[in-house]
Amino acid sequence: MDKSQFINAIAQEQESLRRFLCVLCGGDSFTADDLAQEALLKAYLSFGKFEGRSRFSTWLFRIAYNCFYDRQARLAGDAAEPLRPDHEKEADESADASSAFAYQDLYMAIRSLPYAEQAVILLFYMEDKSVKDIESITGMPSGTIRSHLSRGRQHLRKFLEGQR
Amino acid sequence: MATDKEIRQFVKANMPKVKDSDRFMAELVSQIDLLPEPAALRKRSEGEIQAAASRLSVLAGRMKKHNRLTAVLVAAISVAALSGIMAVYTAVPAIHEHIMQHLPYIMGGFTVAVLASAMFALRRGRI
Repeated sequence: MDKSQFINAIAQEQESLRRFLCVLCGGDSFTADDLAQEALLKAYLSFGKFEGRSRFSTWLFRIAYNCFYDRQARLAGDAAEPLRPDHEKEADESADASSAFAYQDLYMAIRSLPYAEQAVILLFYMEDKSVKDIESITGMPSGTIRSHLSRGRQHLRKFLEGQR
Repeated sequence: MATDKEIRQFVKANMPKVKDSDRFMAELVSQIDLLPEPAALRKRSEGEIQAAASRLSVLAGRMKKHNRLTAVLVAAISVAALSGIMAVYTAVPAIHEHIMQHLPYIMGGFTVAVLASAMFALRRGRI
């Protein structure tokens, strides 16, 4: 693959990547786009490390997921607090209110879940990734992914029934 | 109770619409252009490929020549050594008798020496 082919490949993947990050960031499309740009630049610089064992999109999502978690750790560090599990449930204060309002139902449905569960739910239901792909992206074992999916499903079922 | 299909439909229906893909890509490409091109993405020109191929063929030629000269040298040394041994064997009766008495051991030792030389030569010959 050369540079122009790489750019064409990421042009095809950027939409789903930005969408995934946007929901993880609680609707903040500006932060999501910054993260997506950071992830894609990292992918460009480290393309030599892509061994082709997973799909290109899986590899990109992995880098993006790691960028998101690094950002969360930086924010927690800036707040001079150690990153705790309940940090994962705090609302993103920089979320773009207009975007969040437009797709509020989805954010309302998943916002109380820890980020790890949100990521698994979004990758499975929104991005149609397989459990194996999610394993590669998040680095979690398949058992953990399945239990996150199970808890996430129960949560979403309650939410949807509450809406009826 | 909501099914898996309904959950998927809900998520798909409520996922955000990504906008400004052209602007995003234009910005990204301008950032990429500022960065050094990774070796893994560098497109080699026809000239570079030809140069690499000719360097390889020069190296292969040199190795073949070296191997041919080595083979000729080893053959010449072997012939000289064998001729000397045969001369001594036929000229000196005491040696002739001694060799005939210990022929199996001498042949075994000779075989081991030839095999050891061959193994040593193979190890040295690895790239």
